[in-house]
Amino acid sequence: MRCQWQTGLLVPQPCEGMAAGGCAHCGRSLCMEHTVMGPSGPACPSCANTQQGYEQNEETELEATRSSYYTQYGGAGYFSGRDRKSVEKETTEGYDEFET
Amino acid sequence: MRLHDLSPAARQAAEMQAIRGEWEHAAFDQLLKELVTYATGMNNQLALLKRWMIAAIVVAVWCVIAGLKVIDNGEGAMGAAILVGGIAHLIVSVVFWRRPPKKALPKDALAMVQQLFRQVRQDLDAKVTVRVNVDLSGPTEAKRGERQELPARGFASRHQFVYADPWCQLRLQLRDGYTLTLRQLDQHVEVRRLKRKGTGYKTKTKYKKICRLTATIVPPGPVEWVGQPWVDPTWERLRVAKKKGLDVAVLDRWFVYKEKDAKPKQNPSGDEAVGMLYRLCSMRPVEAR
Ligand SMILES: [Zn+2]
Ligand SMILES: [Zn+2]
Repeated sequence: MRCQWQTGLLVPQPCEGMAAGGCAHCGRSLCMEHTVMGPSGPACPSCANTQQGYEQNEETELEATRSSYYTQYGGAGYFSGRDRKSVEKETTEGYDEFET
Repeated sequence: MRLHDLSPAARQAAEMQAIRGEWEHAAFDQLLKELVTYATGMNNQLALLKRWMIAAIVVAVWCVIAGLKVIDNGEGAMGAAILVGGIAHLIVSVVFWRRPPKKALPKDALAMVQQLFRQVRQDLDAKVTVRVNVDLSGPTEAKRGERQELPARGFASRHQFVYADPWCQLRLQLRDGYTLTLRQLDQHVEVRRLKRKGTGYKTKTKYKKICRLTATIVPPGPVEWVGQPWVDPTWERLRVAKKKGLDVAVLDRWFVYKEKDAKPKQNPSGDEAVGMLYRLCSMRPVEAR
């Protein structure tokens, strides 16, 4: 069994570490790193955010911001076309070279 | 945290007031952590010093009044002692106040970079370093532009100075081959109004900080952008520009901060920057996501 937790925000990808158990709330299998312990059993970072009494760690904080982006900007990266007009092709001016 | 408690890399950055070059992810994370802690500590220290200074003035004024009263009552020696004690306290405070930690780092600006990096670190290609050019020295005199005259609008005269501070450049390589860049340009506008008062003039200064965050996404090869991110029509602009034959998507967002007594120190949060990168990433063709 592989860990079913998705890591990353801009390029989400499955963790695929060896699963050591599962989330007591949503049932997905989890590796040790993505398991958060709490009063109602092991949880994934997402369920640890919504269930009472789970301690927060870096992974749950990342998950909280991730879900706030999804809500704020509407869906898993897809957006409505109502602001289509604000995209304009500009090939002549405007973009200065950026070579850090 | 003091300067000599910092790791050599953080100490060098704090002394130079700059972060430059190529950084391994773990080292960059550690550097930012140290610098944010250091900057926060220093800012608190300055705030404390300011409060102490105010207390010192109150005590000194009180001592002068009390000292004069005591002298009035015929106890000259004691009155003089109180008077001298108060003034000495004030002088010592002024001396301390005039040598604050010399190189205060911009806490909010550093916090943005740290927050941004923490949130996107998992998405980066672990083998590629982060390219950084961050200037933490703020709106120094060297960044001040020419004096610009403004319409008087009932005042004796109005003019402004603009400090241009392109302090932040970051280049991040995503694990799917796309490259993200983030730049920030701060423009500090200082408007001075001269008012005639009696025989002389009275100056009043207002401060405004305009931040322009520019995020770009550079594809690894020819690409057809598909997603249509949400764009705020007032504060944002999205465009596609050609660079070395590639279509680069560019998102700008403006922020404005105003203050009465000093140049504003606020900075957009890391969440704002990540939100911009997130929306640019949503333009990638489906197979890339
Ligand atoms: Zn779960
Ligand atoms: Zn995992």
